[in-house]
Amino acid sequence: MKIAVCVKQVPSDNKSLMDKKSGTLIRNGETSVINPYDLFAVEMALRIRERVGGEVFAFTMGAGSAKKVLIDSVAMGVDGGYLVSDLAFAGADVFATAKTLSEAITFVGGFDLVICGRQTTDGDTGEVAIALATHMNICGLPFVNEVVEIDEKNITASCDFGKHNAITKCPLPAVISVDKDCGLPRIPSLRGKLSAKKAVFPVISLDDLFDKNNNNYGLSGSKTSVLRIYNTVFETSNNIIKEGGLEFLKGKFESVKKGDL
Amino acid sequence: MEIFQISDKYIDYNKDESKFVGNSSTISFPTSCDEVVEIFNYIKNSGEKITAQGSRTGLVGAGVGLVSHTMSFEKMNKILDTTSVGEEYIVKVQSGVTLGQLREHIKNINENVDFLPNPTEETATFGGLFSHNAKGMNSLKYGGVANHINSVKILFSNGDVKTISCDEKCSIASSLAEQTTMIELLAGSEGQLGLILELDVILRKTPSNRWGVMFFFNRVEKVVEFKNYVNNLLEDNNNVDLSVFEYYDKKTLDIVGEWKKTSSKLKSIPDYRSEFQSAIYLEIESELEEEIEVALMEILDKFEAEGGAESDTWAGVLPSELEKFQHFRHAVQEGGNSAIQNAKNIDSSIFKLSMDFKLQDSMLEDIINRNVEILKKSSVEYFVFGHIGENHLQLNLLPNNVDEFQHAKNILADMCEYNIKNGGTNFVENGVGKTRINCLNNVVNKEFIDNIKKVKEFFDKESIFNC
Ligand SMILES: Cc1cc2nc3c(=O)[nH]c(=O)nc-3n(C[C@H](O)[C@H](O)[C@@H](O)COP(=O)(O)OP(=O)(O)OC[C@H]3O[C@@H](n4cnc5c(N)ncnc54)[C@H](O)[C@@H]3O)c2cc1C
Ligand SMILES: Cc1cc2nc3c(=O)[nH]c(=O)nc-3n(C[C@H](O)[C@H](O)[C@H](O)COP(=O)(O)OP(=O)(O)OC[C@H]3O[C@@H](n4cnc5c(N)ncnc54)[C@H](O)[C@@H]3O)c2cc1C
Repeated sequence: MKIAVCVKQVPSDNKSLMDKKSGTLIRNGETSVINPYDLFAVEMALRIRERVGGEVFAFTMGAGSAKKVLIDSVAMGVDGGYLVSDLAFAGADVFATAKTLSEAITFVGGFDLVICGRQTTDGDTGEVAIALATHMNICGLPFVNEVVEIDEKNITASCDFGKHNAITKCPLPAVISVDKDCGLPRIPSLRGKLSAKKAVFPVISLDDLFDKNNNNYGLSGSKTSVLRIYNTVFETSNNIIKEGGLEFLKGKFESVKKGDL
Repeated sequence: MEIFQISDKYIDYNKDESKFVGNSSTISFPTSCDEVVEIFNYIKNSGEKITAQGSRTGLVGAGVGLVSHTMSFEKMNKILDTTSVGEEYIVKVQSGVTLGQLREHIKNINENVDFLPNPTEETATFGGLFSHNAKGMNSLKYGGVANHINSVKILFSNGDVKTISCDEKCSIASSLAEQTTMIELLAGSEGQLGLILELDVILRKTPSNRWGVMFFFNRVEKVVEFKNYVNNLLEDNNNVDLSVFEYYDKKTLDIVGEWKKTSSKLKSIPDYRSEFQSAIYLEIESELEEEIEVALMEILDKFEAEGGAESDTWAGVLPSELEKFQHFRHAVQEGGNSAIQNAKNIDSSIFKLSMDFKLQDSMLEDIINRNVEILKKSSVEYFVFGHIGENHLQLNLLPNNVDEFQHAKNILADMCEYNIKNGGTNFVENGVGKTRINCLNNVVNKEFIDNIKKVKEFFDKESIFNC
């Protein structure tokens, strides 16, 4: 089975600044790390490879420094990686990111399964996986917490929809996004870590893609733009209940039991 | 000046992490040097004793008062000053400042410096850390806390307050003290020689590159050979430093495995196979990353040649990756202490029984290969971990009930005696305190004890401190 796993470079803390004009993130490769959720995606890919055999390749769309997250993925055990990088891809929203990744994955070709993280810690939309499936015109399963069955033809997975899990079977190729419950990411082995540093990653640029129209990528290919970023202030208040406290608590307790709270 | 009776409210101040219970009747919480002096004078004039106390994270009951007055330094918790000296920084702290507080402070100073000895318990105070000369995993390279202290302000039993700097020679004529500096003498003295008020802590440049690797072993017999190989390989290599070289036996791995189920700090550490018989963790530092990689490649080859599997290793480089290994090490103490607490819940007289041994090679091999008769015959469970690079291991006994506890005390005493007979030394780390005092007479030579007595008499003739 040939598996693509999508990994994104994100700031290691929340001190990174937004570009006020473009509404995009100002990225600083020095203080960036692999999106923590994507470690679970890599882990899932490796476990499926251990289960059914095959190969795993990591894809990242980003600047040159994003190579670091490919190194991290190889250290964990993936077989290779692709850096999807071109000035034309800069400033992409969900739509344009998914478009670019789908083109890059199609360019390499032959993938049975694409695995994404549940969400990122910067953009945080949690929508890329399903947008990717839409662009690729294949089935997409979001928030997978367990792969129940998988063979060359189908995948059956349990998807976490909050109050319910949905066990869904769909044909391959497919895109899934995986949740943190699906299995703790492994710590790289020594050889993995040493050899990853020497790995060479092909760069996929606009010229390589089937659709070469740069209006379909990056800021110009995006359907949304960020108008304003601001901090939300949460206000809490302490309510002192002087009468009927027991009834109030009972009510709350029932709500918790029913799952309304 | 406020002095409180130890009633229910302060009862916890009569015990520490060893679960040893003391019997001080009063307690104070000074916030300044002047207050310490005032309370000291009052207690001294009343003919009472004083036990200095930090955060009570000690593992041998040293900060637990047996009688009279406990002086808690937990409210002497101010960072007073920070100055830069070349590439280093000196931070002046009150003795109740905790390691965690300093770590937070360092984040705002300079990301390229750190308090390098790095003991793992963040809530320990600098007074306590200095008094036990606490060590981190990396003691092989960085030594104990005392090596990173520039000066100490201390109140002696005669009422003098002095600032002792790190190069000040010791003036007392005792063979123990002749060759030492005052700081070396005071560090590790467990609150016996004076009350520490302030310390100048040195922050030094962190190494440019550091790798941490955990090797899991399926067979214990391979551990000592591997350890010797690594020591020999790196001894002659001037480009790399081995800063951490730790050993965890099977029971230790089991304890951490169990603790992992409930600890949020360990949630990013994956499960490891229960068949592993032991593990070795090492950290290598260098200004040249390539040199580390070459050395690690050779070490990995050896590990595999001895039957180890490459996939049974964990490697980390980034601070966030190395932190996982730190948390792992910390969990050994936490998990062990929690096991003792469970036994204490059954019988309150039980406390932690552990001992540090500096071992000769043959004894090290015997302990690791589980070939020591005293332990083989024992029905009490135990775990062993520690600085294998320096042949310095810690034995912890895990009695489940009072009978086993009594038995465990004998095992510990027997092990001390056995180690001395075999050319080793005992309790190098974590102190003697009150939980290990019974072993003292059996196990160290009389001259050593006499010397300690002389030093105590010199500094604290009237035996005011920590008696
Ligand atoms: C504060 C903020 C607000 C934003 N608001 C919007 C908005 O309202 N609408 C909009 O369309 N865009 C928005 N964006 C931009 C958008 O988030 C990103 O540009 C786009 O990459 C979507 O990624 P995400 O981080 O949300 O991914 P998510 O959908 O959260 O990520 C899911 C998974 O997709 C994969 N993935 C995502 N990005 C990459 C990548 N670059 N390379 C490889 N794999 C990847 C990873 O596996 C990841 O775990 C916003 C960005 C910021 C910083
Ligand atoms: C989970 C865990 C992990 C640990 N890890 C390590 C480790 O990695 N390395 C290590 O070395 N230890 C470790 N310890 C042991 C402990 O943290 C150290 O012994 C530490 O030095 C104790 O500091 P404290 O502030 O808690 O002192 P306390 O336990 O309160 O007292 C310890 C000694 O210091 C004396 N003292 C305290 N303050 C003063 C003062 N102002 N003046 C004079 N004497 C004073 C006391 O009298 C006593 O003798 C660990 C403990 C735990 C619980």
